[in-house]
Amino acid sequence: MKSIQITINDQVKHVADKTSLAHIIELFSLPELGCVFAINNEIIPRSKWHETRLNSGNSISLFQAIAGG
Amino acid sequence: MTGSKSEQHRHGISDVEFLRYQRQVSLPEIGEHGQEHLATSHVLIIGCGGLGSAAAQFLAAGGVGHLVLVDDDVVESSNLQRQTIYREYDLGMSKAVAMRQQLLNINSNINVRAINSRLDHSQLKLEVMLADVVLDCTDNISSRQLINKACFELKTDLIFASAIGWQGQFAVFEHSHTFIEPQACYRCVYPFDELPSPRSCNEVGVIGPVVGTLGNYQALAAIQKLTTGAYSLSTRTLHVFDGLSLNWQQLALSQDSDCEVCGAGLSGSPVQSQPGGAA
Repeated sequence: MKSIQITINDQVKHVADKTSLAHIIELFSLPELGCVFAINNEIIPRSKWHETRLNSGNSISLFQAIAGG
Repeated sequence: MTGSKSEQHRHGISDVEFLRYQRQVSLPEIGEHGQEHLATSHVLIIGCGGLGSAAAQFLAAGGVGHLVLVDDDVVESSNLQRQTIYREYDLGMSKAVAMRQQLLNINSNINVRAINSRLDHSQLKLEVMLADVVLDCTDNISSRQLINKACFELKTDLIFASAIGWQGQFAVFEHSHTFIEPQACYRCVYPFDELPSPRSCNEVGVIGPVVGTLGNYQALAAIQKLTTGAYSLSTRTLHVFDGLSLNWQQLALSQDSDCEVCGAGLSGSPVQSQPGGAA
């Protein structure tokens, strides 16, 4: 299967082409609760995690929701 | 545009107001017309902590005519490091009451109402209904979800910010436009009723100028909308601030079609309340 290079918070990773965001979260044991995921600076709503597939060069950023004030 | 500045002056704000607000009235985007709009505007500020402290001072000083402050806490010594509206002599007082007094010391020509309790659902809806814009300056996600829901249902713009440690997050949810063009609400971005601990300022700490910066962004967004009728800043965007590098990151937002608050709004049908949701 073709492998592609992506980044997760600026760290380079190699995954199979067209891997879904949901699968990537599982694959790298990324935290889910309280986390927001964006691909190329576009936040992916939770209901789209399964259908959103990664392409070569995509950059995933994940950050914690914060509620303090 | 016709008429000299002095002629416009006679038709607009008073001489005293003109002098007081001259530095912002002289901005072409604001003018006397914008100042008049501010004077008749009504802003609901929920939460009188670090965000509320920063935002409320600029809204009061800028001449927003009606402010409502909501908080059920009292001023503690650990607040003084960043909640700069308070003075040492306010310790032990209700935050909403103490903030009201300090705001009136800044500008006695405005109306400020203090509510020193948590709002129940019907009170929240009433206060949102009265407001032109709502500033979410709270410190917990359950309150934030309730405020978002009320603002969505009442088509009232929600100016959100949060801060912790060296980090800040800011977005404008333009609920007054959601029914024209669907867009993300707070819950689309943050579909959580709780966050993994520690996530509060008590546990993690927060640096004063970061929460102040975020509160100032909220005031700036409100002033844009109230004086000009629209936001110049990019809505549909989450602005994420890092107080160490001083970088702002902008992330595009899109509506979650499964969102339990606004998802049903796609077809224009009324939003069903979610049984067992946050109370």
